[in-house]
Amino acid sequence: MNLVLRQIEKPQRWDQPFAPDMDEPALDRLLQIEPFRSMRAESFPPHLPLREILRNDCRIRVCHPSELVIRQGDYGNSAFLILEGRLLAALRLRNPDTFQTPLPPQKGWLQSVAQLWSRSRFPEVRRRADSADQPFTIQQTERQARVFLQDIPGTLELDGSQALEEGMIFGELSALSRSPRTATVVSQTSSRLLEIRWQGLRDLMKFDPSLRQRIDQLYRENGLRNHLQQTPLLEQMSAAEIEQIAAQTEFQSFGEYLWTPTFRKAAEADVAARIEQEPVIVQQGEYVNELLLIRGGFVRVTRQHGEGEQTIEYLGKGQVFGLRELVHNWRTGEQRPWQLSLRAVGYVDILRIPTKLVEELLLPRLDVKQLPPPLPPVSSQLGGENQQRRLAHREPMPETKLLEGIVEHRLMNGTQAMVIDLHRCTRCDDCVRACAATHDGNPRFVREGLVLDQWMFASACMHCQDPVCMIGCPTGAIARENSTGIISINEQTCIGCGMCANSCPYGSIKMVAINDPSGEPIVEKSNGLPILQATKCNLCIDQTGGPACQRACPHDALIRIDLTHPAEFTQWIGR
Amino acid sequence: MDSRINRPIARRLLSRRRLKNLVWTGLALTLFSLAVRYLDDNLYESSTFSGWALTAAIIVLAAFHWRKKIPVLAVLGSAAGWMQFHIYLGLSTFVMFGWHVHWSFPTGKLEQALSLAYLLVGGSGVFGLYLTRTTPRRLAAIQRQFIYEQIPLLRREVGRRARQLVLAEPAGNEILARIYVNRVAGFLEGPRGWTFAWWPNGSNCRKLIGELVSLDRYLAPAQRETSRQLMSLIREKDDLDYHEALQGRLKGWQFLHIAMTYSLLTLMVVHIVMAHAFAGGWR
Repeated sequence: MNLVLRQIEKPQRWDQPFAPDMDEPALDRLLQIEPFRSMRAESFPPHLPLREILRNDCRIRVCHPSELVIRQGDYGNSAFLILEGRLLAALRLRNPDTFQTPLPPQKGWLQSVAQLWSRSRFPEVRRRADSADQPFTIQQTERQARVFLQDIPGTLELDGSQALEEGMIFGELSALSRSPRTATVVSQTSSRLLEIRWQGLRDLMKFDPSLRQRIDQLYRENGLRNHLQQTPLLEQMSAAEIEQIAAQTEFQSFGEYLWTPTFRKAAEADVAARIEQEPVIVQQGEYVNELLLIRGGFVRVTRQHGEGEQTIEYLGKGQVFGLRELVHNWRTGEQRPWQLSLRAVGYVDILRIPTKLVEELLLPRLDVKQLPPPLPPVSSQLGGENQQRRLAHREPMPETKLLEGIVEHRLMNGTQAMVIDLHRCTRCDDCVRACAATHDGNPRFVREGLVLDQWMFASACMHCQDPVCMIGCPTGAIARENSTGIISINEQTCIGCGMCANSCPYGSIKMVAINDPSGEPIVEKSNGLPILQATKCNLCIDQTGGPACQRACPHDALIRIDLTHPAEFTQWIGR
Repeated sequence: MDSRINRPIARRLLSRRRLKNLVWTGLALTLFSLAVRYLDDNLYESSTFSGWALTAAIIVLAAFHWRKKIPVLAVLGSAAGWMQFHIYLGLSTFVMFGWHVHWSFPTGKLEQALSLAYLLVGGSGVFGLYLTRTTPRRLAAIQRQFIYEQIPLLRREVGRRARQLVLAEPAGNEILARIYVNRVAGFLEGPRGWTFAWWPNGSNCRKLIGELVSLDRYLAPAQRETSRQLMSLIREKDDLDYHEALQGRLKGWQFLHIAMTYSLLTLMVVHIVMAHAFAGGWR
């Protein structure tokens, strides 16, 4: 039997440029302005020349007065350099609920049913080989609707807003930390912006130290200010007081940006050594000198227990640590040290506000209801489950063994983790079949994964809060959906390099060999090797009714759940 | 993450849900029983009413299988909701059936066959409820979890590793090789039989491990290590067999339950046609 193969050129990083119209004169003009003028072309390697980065990873965006550039809460994968014009960045919206980006289009019920018989007969069919004469551009995959704000003061909180002028960079915070936009930016005049997608920004920073330094500084300054303004504990502070706090607050980062390799290495180590490898942010028993705000990432709260450390809870973005000790010391005049330790799990950004400032500006304003309960007496802190609970006072937590497992395997990163109750799951695989039915016959997960007690954390994409899979993608094919934050893979721009699959700490991304619509394997022209593409769960973003796996489980055994805050999970397991 | 894409589902207590469902089922059955009594007391044909109600209930129960075939249609609701409805409606049909046959077993051949088919489907449903509530816990008690379709492959792998272990033993002391050929190979590579499929237990595994342990005194230290590894493979094979038996039982039950449902539906249609044909026309 002759096997027919569809041969194509191996997909490359810049097959699909960010904008197709970045011509030579535009590139020449860009290279005449800062920061590109000061960049040394020879610092860039031959396979990543500066001019090509600008050509393929940047696009010019022309904005009209009152046009919305970025919206707070949306997910963005690019930063902006202002070439011309003036913009306004506001950190607070007057009515955030009515100012949301619409959801991506979903299938109607007729289209949903049609999927049942329009499904391909072959696995992993891609239509890219057929579209060679009709190149598919990134612009076609993005919704191009422009939004104009008729009533800027009525929509945006202008107190604390910032004017953005020519030459300034914005949007880097979201692009670098893979988190939602922290500000809404509106063009005040006609303006021209250079939008640099994350992959280009990463390479520019890598080969130009001055840009790296500038972006790092911006990241810290903006990250610090934005976070302080958005912290509920500080919401009664005036802009001047926030500035005063910002001036004295220290911004610290712990752990590695791409933490997958260290995580995998640590998994091979002894259990006690694994915890010891996590950087210490606060040490139990040491002097309390600051209030800590977690700006990004996750921290493990532990207490000394025998020869090891016992995890009591985990905290994530937006949470505060140390208020209890500070309030206790402030009210009683005692000098009680840290009752618990804090360790960085993965990459963590921390803001440290000095105790003196907290006592002067914050504590006198707090309502009695906002104050944490007093610390238990020293004599009662010798141990035991109840004492732990008394020290940990935040959200309800799963019992210790499960909690240790969740933190150990960094599952708290998942905003849509698939958890299966093995005491209810009959292994019928209706979930897998439903997944296949909504993905052209190809299931996007396997019903296996880590088991802790009776709970299976299946290897389906968890749509992480810190999606490390996105870090290495050379084309931006794996990205967050703008409005929902769901991480999906663009089949048209994925070149099958496998970076995302290697970076995913949970093994939730699979590389598959692809076929054309007639079932012929698509192979590389030069060596006949199969062309691979990354696949993973997209949370049925184009289907109505949410994830099909969850809807298909007849025994209430499977749920997609947010593990970043343990309360929801604790409630579910205790049902 | 945007809550608009996956709205939090109701996470009420399961015990509360059970109580609510029981109350509603009880109410519905009381109303149904009162209606039948009313029809009987007023000399109406209550069998027509109870028969059509039972027909409708059975069609809705069978529709659960069809619902599972179209998971893409969100408007049909969640499978968990359907399952709850399936359970309580299924249990209710026993009462409906009782009223329909006036609490006595019918005498006609067709009616007897139909009643038998109904009782088999209903009974298998109750048995299935027991299986689906008890088997998952037994499966979860095994440390490793296996996918049913992968079990034969994993079993072959266990057999291959055991063969390699024994073949790697230096010549001289053939005790291990002998027990492998005579006892272990059959266990690792052979089927476990119907008894094990219905009542899976670890007695054979324990017995074999006991035999290996008793040979320790005749083995050199290095061979004892091989013996320990063989024991571990025996346990692994036992776990695979256990999972296969229990998962296979669930799958077999579901297949029978569905197959019998189609038989019931067929007989039901014949019964309806016959009942109306010999009742002097449609009323």
